[in-house]
Order: sequence, then C-alpha cells, then structure tokens
Amino acid sequence: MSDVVLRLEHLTKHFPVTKGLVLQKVVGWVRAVDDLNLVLKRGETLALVGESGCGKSTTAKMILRLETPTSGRVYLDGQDVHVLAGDDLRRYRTRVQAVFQDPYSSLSPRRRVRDIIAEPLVVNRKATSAEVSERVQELLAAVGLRPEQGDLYPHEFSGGQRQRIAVASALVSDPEVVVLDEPVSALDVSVQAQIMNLLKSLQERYGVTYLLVAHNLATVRYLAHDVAVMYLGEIVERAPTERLYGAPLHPYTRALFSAALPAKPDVQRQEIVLRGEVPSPLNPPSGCRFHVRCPWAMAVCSQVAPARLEPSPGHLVACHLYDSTIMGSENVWPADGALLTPAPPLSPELDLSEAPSNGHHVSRGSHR
Amino acid sequence: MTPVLSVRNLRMHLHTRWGITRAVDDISFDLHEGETLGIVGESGCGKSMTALTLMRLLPRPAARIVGGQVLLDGEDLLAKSESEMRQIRGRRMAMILQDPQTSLNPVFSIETQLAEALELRQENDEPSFGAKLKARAIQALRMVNVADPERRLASYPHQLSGGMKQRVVGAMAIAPRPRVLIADEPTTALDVTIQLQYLNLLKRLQQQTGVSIIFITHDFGVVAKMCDRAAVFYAGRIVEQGTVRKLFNQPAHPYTQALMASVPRLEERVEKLYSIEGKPPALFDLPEGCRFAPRCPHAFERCAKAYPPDFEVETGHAAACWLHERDLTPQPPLRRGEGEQVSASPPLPLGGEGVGGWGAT
Repeated sequence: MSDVVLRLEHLTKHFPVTKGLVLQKVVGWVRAVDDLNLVLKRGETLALVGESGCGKSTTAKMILRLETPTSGRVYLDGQDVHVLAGDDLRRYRTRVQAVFQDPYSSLSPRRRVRDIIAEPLVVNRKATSAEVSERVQELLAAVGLRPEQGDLYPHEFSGGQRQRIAVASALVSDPEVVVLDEPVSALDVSVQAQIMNLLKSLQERYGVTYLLVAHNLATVRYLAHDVAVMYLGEIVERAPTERLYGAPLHPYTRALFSAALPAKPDVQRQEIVLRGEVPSPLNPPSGCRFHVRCPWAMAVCSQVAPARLEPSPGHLVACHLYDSTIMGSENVWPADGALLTPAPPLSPELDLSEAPSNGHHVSRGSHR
Repeated sequence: MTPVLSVRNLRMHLHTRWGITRAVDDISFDLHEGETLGIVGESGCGKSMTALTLMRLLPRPAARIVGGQVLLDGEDLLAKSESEMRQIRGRRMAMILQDPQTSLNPVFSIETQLAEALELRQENDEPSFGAKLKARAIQALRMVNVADPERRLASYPHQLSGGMKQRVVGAMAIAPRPRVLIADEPTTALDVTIQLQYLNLLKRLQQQTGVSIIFITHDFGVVAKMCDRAAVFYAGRIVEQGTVRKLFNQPAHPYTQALMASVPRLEERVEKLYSIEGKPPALFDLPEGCRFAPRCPHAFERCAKAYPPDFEVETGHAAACWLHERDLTPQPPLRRGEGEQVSASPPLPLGGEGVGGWGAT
C-alpha cells in the first residue's frame, strides 16, 4: 500500500448563480474551490484552515461525494472516486467516513445509539448481525461509553458524549479516511479536550487518516501533521504543522496567526489587522485573491496570480514576495519567516470595513 | 475610587420543572471606571444569566432575583421599578449580544434603528431631530469604521455582513454613552480576522468614551487581550477572581488550572491535553460542598462538606477553594511545605490513564 491514501488533483467546484424561477438563467459562478491539489498521507492528519467561505467544507463534501466537482479528480488509493457506482460506491462509502460539527443534528433522534453506530455496517451489508453487534460493542468501549449506553437514545447524552457516538459511527466500518468537519468547535472547552484526545488516540490505535476542517489554529496544531491554508477557494500555503507554526510565510497565514489570540497576557507580538472582509467568491479579485486585503500588496499582485513556490523543502506558498523572478534575488523574502518589511500600520481613517475594489487598488509596495 | 458597578451577593433562581435552579449564586464583583472585566466559563455556568440579571431582562415568571445588590454609581438597580429600569437600559447600561442578527430588526433600516438608540441620550444632551439626528447617525457609523456611512444608513440588516452588523450593534450600544457596556460573546459568531478588527475597535471605543466593559467569553485568548481583571464562573458561582496577569500566571483554583491545561496551545506543541473528568453538576441538584469537588484532582473530605468561602490568595486575587485556607491561617511548621506547594500551582495529573474514561489503548 502506498503512503498516500487520498489525492486531490486540480479539484474545482463552481456553483452556478441563477436568476428567474422557471427558466433559470445562469448569471454568474461562485468559485468555491479552484484548482486544489493535496495529498493525504496514510495514518496522518491534514488540516484545512481558513475563514468561512474559503471552500474548506466544499472540499470536504467533494471527498465525501456529497458534491460533484466541476473539474478535477479525487483519488482514493489511485482509484478515481467520482466514477464509482453500484457496489464500488457502496464500498467507498464505508472507506471514507465523516464526523460533523454539530452532534445535535448529525444523530437521528429516533434511533438507539447502538443502531446509529451500526448503520454504516448494516446499509453496506458488510457483516453478519453477530459481527455487527460485536463491532459496535468494541467501538462503544473505544470511545469511552459503557455497553448499556448503546440502548439509549441520543437525547439522553450530553454534547461531548454525542460527539463520541458520532466518532464511533464513523469508525465502525474501519474506514481509511475520516473527514472531521469542525469536530470540536460546537463543544465546551473542557469537552473539546476530551474529544481531541479521543481522536488522537483512535488514530494511533486504528491508523486512520484524518482530513481535519477547522478554523481554530490551536486545535489544528494539536491534531494535525500537515496544514493547508485556504483563502477564497485556493490554497495559499501548505507545510508540515511545526514548520508552518514556526515560520508562517504567506501574508494571509501571518494575519490568521496574528488574529489567533494566545491565552497569555502581556505577550508582545505584532498584530496584523487586515483591511475589510473576505470578498465574495462570486467575483474574486484579480491576480492574487488576497491582494485587496494584503498589507504588503504590490502593483503586480493585482495583475498576476502568484505561482506555487517552494521556498524551503515541503513548504509551499503562493505569494510573489517569495518569487525571486519578481522580487529580484536581493529583495526576495527569506524562507525562515522573517519579515523583510514590517506591515504598514492601518491608519484610523483607512477604511476597515470594505476592501478597495479591484480596479482602484493603489500599490503600496513601490518603495521596494 | 468607587466602582462604577458593584455587584454584591447577587442571587437569582429559575423555577423550572426540575426544581429550583440556582442559576446565579452569590455573585460579587466590582467594575471600575474604564476597566474591562472578563467573565469566563463554560456553557451553563451562569455567565449570561448574570448579565441578564444585571440588566433585569429575565424570563418571567420563571426567574426570581432572591437577593443581593446591583449598585450602578451607588444606586441599587434591584430596587428600581420597571419604568425606571427602562430609563437605565441602553442609556446607562448597554448590551452587545453574540448574534448581531438578533439585535437588529430585519424590517427597519439601519438609520431608523440607529436613530432610536441615539434618542436615548443622556439627560444633559441636546435633543436632535431631522438632519441633525442623521448627522449623528453618520458619525456613529463612522466611529465604528463602517465604510460609506451615508449609503449604509439606508440599508437593511440582511444587506450587511456579520462583522458589519456587529459594528452597527456596537454603534447603537455606545452612542448613548453608557457607563457600563456588557458584551456577551460579541465575537463568537465572527471569523478570526474580523474578530481581531472588532476587538481592536471595542478597545478604541473604550479609550474614547471611558466606558467600563463586562466582557463575557469562553475564550482565554480574548480575555488575555481585552481584560484587566477576570472572574471564572463554575456552576453559577465565581470560583476565582483577579487581575488577568495573576489569573493566567498563577491560577489559584483547581478548576481554572484544569481549564487552562485543557486548552490547546497556539504557541507550543502539546502532546496530550489535560481533560477534566465528568461534567458540571446540574444547577437544580447541586452538591452540598464545593461544586467542583467531584471532578477536582485535589479534593479532600472538607470539600464535600461545605462550600469554601473566597480566600484572598494575594491582594485582589481570590479563589473559593479550601486548599487556600491553610495559606491564610497560621500553620504548624510540619504542614508548611505542603501549603506552599499548593499555592504555587499544584501539578496536574497530566495524561493519566483512563482520563475521561477512554484510556483503553
């Protein structure tokens, strides 16, 4: 078996925007995910990080075959996922599972916990009823529930326990990949720790691969081996977790880190406050999609989309600042995460609420 | 200096079908001029109920304030009539809620809603009408960094993004120049980069107006950035209170310690998080002694018998935990070492087998 379990190649999803009730006319496209390339290594966790609307959940849905990509492919062990049908598709559904954010809506209130957990085995006709019940017992114990709790209904459990049930149900069919879509963000702080520890120990025990969709950078650091940062449907930076946290390169990643507040008073750090909000993916900015909010944006950023660069091995970033053909070999930014020029402070008069529109962008990097 | 807001032994009960729920139980704190007090805790610990009790916006007939005082500039709000309270809400004590959508009326324009807030002026302010009122509304929007305020006045809530709506709510809250602003998880619904913008905005507004802020949150990062002092809530009570620096550097209550150890760190890699066993007690069925005792790694007999009073660990830093009793009372020499060890943040049983009941690896 290869080291790579799941591979995304040029994965793209554009949603049509329609007008009219009967004769729906397509008036535009929401470019939710654009040309995404990723690999998930067996037994490891890859985190997709970004703000709402960056396309991380759409990516997860395409992996789960809940959305069909506009173009591009998803490969599980070399097999194109989106051409599967019939029994192959049924088998795929047992090999890739998911845990969702809200354990109150993801579990059927009318079924016993035992049946909820067994569902993936039953619908996929994978085992005899004796095997099913044995496997359910095993999973109940693995997620820290007592055997007799299998006879209860979801409403009899707290949020953390429900998430344990969801995890048990996701793992019951012995999947290779589990998509974790914000698995702890709906839970209380102390319960979050319980579920994160559980996910970590289950990964060690079953060798399962996680795709973690999350926005909390501390959670990601705790769980993930690799991190991909998404902005407006594109990956702007990708690196092994410890590398990324040691030296975030892309200006957006830096801003994300600066916005994640450390639970410590008196920490001296430079704050990078971004202008405005994430623009609409309906009409993403030209060139680099981040340029309208980027403190270091240059004239070229609004015109040319940055290439994917590898300033240090395994650390990918899509930003002109690291491109020596654009910056020149003297001004190119170092791969150790040092700031070559400090972020210009946002003046109070400067408009915080709306980023300047594409056409009127003024270069602020001309002094370089 | 007399505090702007002084809460003394506040108690509020909710009468539910399960019995009497002691939702706010013997809460006391002071809020000084221009200060930000953080209220931290998990869901159901009474943070929001405390805020609603201060504003006297409680569900009736279930809720009953059964004791205590809420002194705003020396006046007891609990003794006010409902019509007097209406004069105070918004004008002297304002509130920002988590979801801006619930604070804005979807069928009125931003201008109408802002004007309503602006009419809640202080007594010595000039009333303003028509063009003057509109100019003040524009100024209020400008203060919270809303772009193109003239155009925004005519828009409706659904036309604004979440961050902008929350800024409008902020403008409405701050425009009447209240003495106290209660912000109940105002950034939880926002994205992180927008959260940072909003927190910086709140800080600037506080510097400009001198308003005192009660900041309710479950995020220690937000507390560290925004607050001067903080109170940690557990099961309806304050278990620890002190300056943010003391609270973070030397947490004195086992619950605070455990909570901080269970949060993953942004700045360092943690191999295993501490996880607090069990769950908080139901507020209608509280244990007799310390409410954290059943989950506390340091609990001893005393904890189950009586609820601990507040022990002052240091000036302005108090914890309701029996472990600190020994530090205050004269101690026999033999037990001294033990007492010292407790006051200097006791070791947590990190990564213990069976923590949370799932350690079957």
